[in-house]
Amino acid sequence: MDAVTYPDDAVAAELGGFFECLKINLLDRHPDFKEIASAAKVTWSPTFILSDDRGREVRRWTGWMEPRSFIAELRLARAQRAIQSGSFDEARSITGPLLEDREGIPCVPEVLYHHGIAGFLGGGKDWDALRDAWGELAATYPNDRFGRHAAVIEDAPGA
Amino acid sequence: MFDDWHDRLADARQASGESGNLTLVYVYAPG
Repeated sequence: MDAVTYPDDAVAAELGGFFECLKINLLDRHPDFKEIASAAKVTWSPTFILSDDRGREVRRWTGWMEPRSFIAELRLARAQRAIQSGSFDEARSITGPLLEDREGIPCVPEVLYHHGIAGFLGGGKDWDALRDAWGELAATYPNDRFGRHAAVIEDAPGA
Repeated sequence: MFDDWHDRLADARQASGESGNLTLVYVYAPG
């Protein structure tokens, strides 16, 4: 991370613009590690935990990522937080551009999944928005976990 | 780039509350 991902200008801009960052050495007995580890059960590194100001976890993952995938994960976390906050248009304003430039991004199925949720909830049970996103998700990524979740869209009202 | 990173969780969460930004905790093992 320190050699490739963090020095990337786009990563630095994303982190600097939308995140408050804390770095904890797993082996250093950092004063806050006990709280972090007990809350999130950190067993491997690198681990990334995204949470709000009350400590409510929004997203986490373990493992190195190159800049483009890392930025996508960070943006997906912002979209998930927006959905949790009821800011569905904001969520779509994050997931939409991610989907337009999706080449090589591993979390695209999950982005599509949340794009559909934000469209559905933001439009007052907008089945068309959900069907657009989840239909594409189920058809394009049938073996992905989220593609399988989305397969239920076949049984949605009006299908 | 770590110059701007917080040293303590409480500081990061306080900043998160003020800015509306999410807190990112990066747990790493050196070497």
